Amino acid sequence: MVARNNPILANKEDANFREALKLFDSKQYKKALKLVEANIKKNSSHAESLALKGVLNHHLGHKAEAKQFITKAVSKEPGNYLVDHLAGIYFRTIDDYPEAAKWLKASIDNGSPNRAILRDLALLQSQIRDYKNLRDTRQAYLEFQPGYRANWTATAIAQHLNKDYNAAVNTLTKIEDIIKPHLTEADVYEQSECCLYKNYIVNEAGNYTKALELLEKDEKEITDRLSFLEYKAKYLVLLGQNEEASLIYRQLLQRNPDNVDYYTLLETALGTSSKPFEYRLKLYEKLARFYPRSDPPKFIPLTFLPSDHPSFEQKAKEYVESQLKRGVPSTFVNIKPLYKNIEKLKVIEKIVLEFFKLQAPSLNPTITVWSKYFLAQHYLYLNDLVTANDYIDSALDHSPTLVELYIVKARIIKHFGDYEKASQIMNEARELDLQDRFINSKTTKYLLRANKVNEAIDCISLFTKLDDDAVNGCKDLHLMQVNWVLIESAEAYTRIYHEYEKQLKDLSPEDPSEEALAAEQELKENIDIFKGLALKRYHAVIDNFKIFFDDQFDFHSYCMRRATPRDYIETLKWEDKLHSTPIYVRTIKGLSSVYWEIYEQQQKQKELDASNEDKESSPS
Amino acid sequence: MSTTSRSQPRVSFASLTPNNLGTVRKLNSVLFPIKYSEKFYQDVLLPQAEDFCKLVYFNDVPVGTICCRLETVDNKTRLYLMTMGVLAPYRSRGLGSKSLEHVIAAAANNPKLKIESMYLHVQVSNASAKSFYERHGFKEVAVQQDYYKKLIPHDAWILERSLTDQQADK
Repeated sequence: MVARNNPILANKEDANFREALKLFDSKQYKKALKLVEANIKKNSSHAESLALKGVLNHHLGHKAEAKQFITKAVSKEPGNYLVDHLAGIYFRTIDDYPEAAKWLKASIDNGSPNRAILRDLALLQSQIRDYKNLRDTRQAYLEFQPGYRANWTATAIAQHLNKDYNAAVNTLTKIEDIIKPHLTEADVYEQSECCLYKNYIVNEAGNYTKALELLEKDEKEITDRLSFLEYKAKYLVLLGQNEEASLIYRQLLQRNPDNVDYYTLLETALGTSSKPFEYRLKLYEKLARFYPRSDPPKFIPLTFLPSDHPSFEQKAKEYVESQLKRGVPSTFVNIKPLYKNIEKLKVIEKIVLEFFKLQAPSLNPTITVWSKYFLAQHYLYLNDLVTANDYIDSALDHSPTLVELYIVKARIIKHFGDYEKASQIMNEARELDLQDRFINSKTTKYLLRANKVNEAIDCISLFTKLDDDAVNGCKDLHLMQVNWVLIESAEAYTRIYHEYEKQLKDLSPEDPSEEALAAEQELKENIDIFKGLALKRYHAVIDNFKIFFDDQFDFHSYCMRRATPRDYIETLKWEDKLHSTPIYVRTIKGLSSVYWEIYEQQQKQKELDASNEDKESSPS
Repeated sequence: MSTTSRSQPRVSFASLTPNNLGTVRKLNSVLFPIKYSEKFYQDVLLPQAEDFCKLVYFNDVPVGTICCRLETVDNKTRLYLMTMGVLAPYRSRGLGSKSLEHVIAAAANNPKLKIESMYLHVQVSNASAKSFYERHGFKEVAVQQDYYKKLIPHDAWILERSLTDQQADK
C-alpha cells in the first residue's frame, strides 16, 4: 500500500481517516467530513480521504461534487482496498451496479479482510447477471458464514443459474442433511421450499427419474401439497407412467376443477387426445357430471368437436343458452375463442339468433337484454358496425340502466371513428354508478383517446389519493405507477401538439397583421407546452421501469432469507424480459418518434441559419 | 340451476347514495314526463329518507325506483310518495307491489317516526294507477285541481292509506 511506504505522513492522517470512517459508520457525516477535509488540506493526494469525501458529499446532498473525488481517489490508489470499497459504496448509492461490482471485487482482490463485502458484491453481481463471478462470491461468503441456511440456498441458486445442476443439488442436499436433526417448527416451511427447489433443479436438468425418486423420498418434508402433486404427475407423464399420472390429475381436479390445464394434462395422461371425438366427449360428459359448476368440462368439447359434428351444435347450444339464461355478462367473451373457426362462429350465430327470437321473449326480460348484448358484441366482432349498433341501441332502450351495454355502445362508436362521442357514452355509464372503478378507468381511457386529458385526469382522480394541496391525482398516478394512464396521456399530448403544428402550417405566412402574428405566437407556445408534456409523461413510464428494475435488488437477499428460491428464479426470468413488455416498447416507440421530430427540426433550423448567414455575409 | 333462476328471478332493493344517484336520474328521465329538480335529488339522499327511497333490482339489473319524503305538519308525520316507476319490459311482474309493500312495511315498522299515513297524487286520467293503489289499501280522499301545470288533464286524485291501523290492509 502506498500509505505504508510513506510512514511519516501516514500515521497522523491515517489515524484521522480511521476516526472519520468510524463517524461515517455511525452516520455522523458532517463531523467525518471535517476530518477528511483537514487531511486533504495537508495532503491533497490522500486517496482514502478523497474517497470518503466523495461518499460523504453524496450523503450530505452535494451530489454534483461527489464523483470527482471518487475518480481522483481511485486513480491515485486503485490498489488500496479501502479506497476500492468506498468507491463501491459510492457507485452502489447512485445505482451504477456494474461499477459498484467492479470496485467491491477490487477491494476483495486487493486483500480487504472485510468479508461482509462479499455479501454486498453478490447482490450487485446478481443485479448485473454476472452469474459466473456470482458463484465464486456466494461460495466464498458461505465459507465465511456457513451457519446460515440462507447462505447455502444462495450458493445453490448461483450454481443453478450457472446451469451447474449437480453442484446446486449437492449444496442443497448437504445443508438438508446437516440441518435435519435440528429442525424446529419454524423451519418447516423453509425445509419444504428447499426440497421443492432441489426438485425443480433436477427437473430442469432433465433427470425425471431422479426427480421423482427425490420427490417421493422428500414427501414428508414437503408441506406444499399442490406443488408436490403437480410435480409428481408431470414426472410420471414424462416417464411414461400414464396410469398413475392420470390418477394424480384426477386428484388435482378434485382440488380445483376450474383449472383448464388439469383437464388437458389428464387427457395427455389418459392418451385420449388422439382418440375419436365421441370418446373424448364421453370423458368430458362424465367430468361435467362430477363438476357441474365448472366451466372447462363444458367448454373444452366445443374446442375439439368439428363444427359439422352433430354434437357440436347441441353442446354449443347447451353452453351458450345456459349462460344467457343465467345472465352471465361474459358469455360472449367466453365463447369468443371458438370464433377463430368461422364455421363454428356461424353455428353459434344461428343458435343465439334462434334463442333470441323464439325463446327469449317468453323468458325473463333480463334474458332478452343479455341476448341483445351478446349479439351486439357478435356483430362488432364481425365488424358489422351497423347491425351491432342496432342491437345495442335496442338493448339500451330496453334496459337503460345496465352499465355493460354502454361499454359496448362506446366501443362500437369508437370503431365508427368518433372518439369524442364514444367518450361521452362511456361517461354516461360512469354516472350511473360512480363507485364502479372499472367503468371509471374505461371512461378515463376513452377521454384520453379523445384528447381530453384534463377531463380524463379529473375523472380518474376520483379513485386516487389526494394530498391536501393537490388539484388532482396526477402525482398519485405517478406514485402508484399507473403506466397505462401515463402512456395514454403522452400519446394524447402528442396528438394535441401535432394538431397545433398542422394549424401552424395552415396559417398564411403572407399575413403580416398583428392578429396573425399573435395567433402564430400562441400556436408556437402551445406546441412547446404539449410537446413538453408528452415527453414528460413518456419519461415517467421509463422512470417506472427503472424502478421495476431497481426494485429487484432487495430480492437478491430477501428471497434467500425468506426461503422462496423458486419464486426468486421466476422473478429473475420476469425481470430479464422486463423491457419487452408491450407498454415499454410502446413508450420507447412514441418517445423516440418525438425526439426524431425534434432532431429533424433542429437540422432544418441549422440549414436555415446557415443559408441566412451566407446571405448576410455575401454583399449583394 | 338455470330453471330455478328462470322461475325465481331475484328482486332486491338498494338504498340511494351519491354514487348510484345517476341511475335514479336515468330511470326518472326514461319513466316520467317531468324533469325533477335538484332539490328532489338532494331530498332522496337525506338520512331519514333512506328506508323510503329505493332502487329496485331485477336479477341484479336496476329496473325501477320508489322515492318518498317525510312531511311533518302539526306534529303529524305523513309519508308522501313522490315517484314510483318500473322500466316497461319489467312491468306486470309484481315489482311495483313489492316496492310499495317494502316501503309500507319499513314505515309501519318504524316506531320512532310515528308515521300516521302515506299519500300520493294520481292524474285523474290514470284509472289503472288508481286501482293499483286501491288494491294496496289506499282510498281517494280528495281531488286537487290544477295539480299538474304542464300535463293535461291538470287535476289529480289524492289517495291516502293509514299506516297505524294494519287492518286498513283490506
